[in-house]
Amino acid sequence: MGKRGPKGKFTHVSCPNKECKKYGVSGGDNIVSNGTVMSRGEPIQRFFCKECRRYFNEYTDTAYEGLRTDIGKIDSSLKCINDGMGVRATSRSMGCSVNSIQRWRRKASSQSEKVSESFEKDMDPESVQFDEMKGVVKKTSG
Amino acid sequence: MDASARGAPAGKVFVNKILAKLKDKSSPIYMTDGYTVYNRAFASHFGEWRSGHITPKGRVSKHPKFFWSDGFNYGQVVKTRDGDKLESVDYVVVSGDIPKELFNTSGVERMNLTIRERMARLKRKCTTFSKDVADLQQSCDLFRSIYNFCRPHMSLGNAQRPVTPAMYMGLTDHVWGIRELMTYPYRQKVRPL
Repeated sequence: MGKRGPKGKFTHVSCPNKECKKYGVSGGDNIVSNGTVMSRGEPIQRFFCKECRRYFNEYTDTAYEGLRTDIGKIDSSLKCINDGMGVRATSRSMGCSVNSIQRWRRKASSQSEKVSESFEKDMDPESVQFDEMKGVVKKTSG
Repeated sequence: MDASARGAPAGKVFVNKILAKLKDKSSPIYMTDGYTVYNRAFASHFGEWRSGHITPKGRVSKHPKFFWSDGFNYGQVVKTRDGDKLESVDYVVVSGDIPKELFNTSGVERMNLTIRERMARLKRKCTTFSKDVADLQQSCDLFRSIYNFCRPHMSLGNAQRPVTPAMYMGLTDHVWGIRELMTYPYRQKVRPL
């Protein structure tokens, strides 16, 4: 036990390493805290998995992993995209490049699809309606 | 939402994707327009060809006939148009017993309008179209998740008590923010707690 007392238990955190035996299992005793790192001017909690001996932080395996931009800016961009603005209009509004917006959108899409898949199962709706709609997908020259 | 070309294989993939999310014993009322692709896709799940059945005249038939499964309720709202003008609306019961007041595709047609308004890639007659199907699919996935988890639906709740589609289906108990969606540890739902 250190000078500041016993380490806090992080029972809501699970190991993000897919090869770990305790991947996705929360409430175990395999996760311990491992200090903080500064990112975007804020401290981020780091963790250590005693099972697979890997380090990770609270943004590992999320849409914000590996990004350095302010999270508020990324969230605002996603809101713009989801409110009818195109990627170029969003990049002009946010003051960043189109490639950045596309990268954030891809990461957000991947994460949100995984979250949706984890929730949307064993559903029992009253009615299901199917329909199709037409859209344009084409390459532009140049 | 599935971004792919129109046709029977795409329809089958789409129907399979939806059916995989339902409970085994779930028997909702399926409602489509008159597009026959859905009919064929449903037939591979809810029905079989039988021979030796009794015809209406009381004879044993030699030819196999397709029968829908019991408890499968499927209706079609078939609209006939003359140019832009709607001529007639027919309610076709393909299988099961569906009351006439439950025949409608207005929910999904209104959803189409929301998608057209909220997704730049699917707006009509403008230059914000997609250049790649994969990108369109990703944008559809993002739109669907934010719509289901983060956006309160006016007809499900009210200003004092906002309700999202996910809350209505009992999947969550509160309105999510974008940050919660982007940082949610989905792996903990995949593995049993």
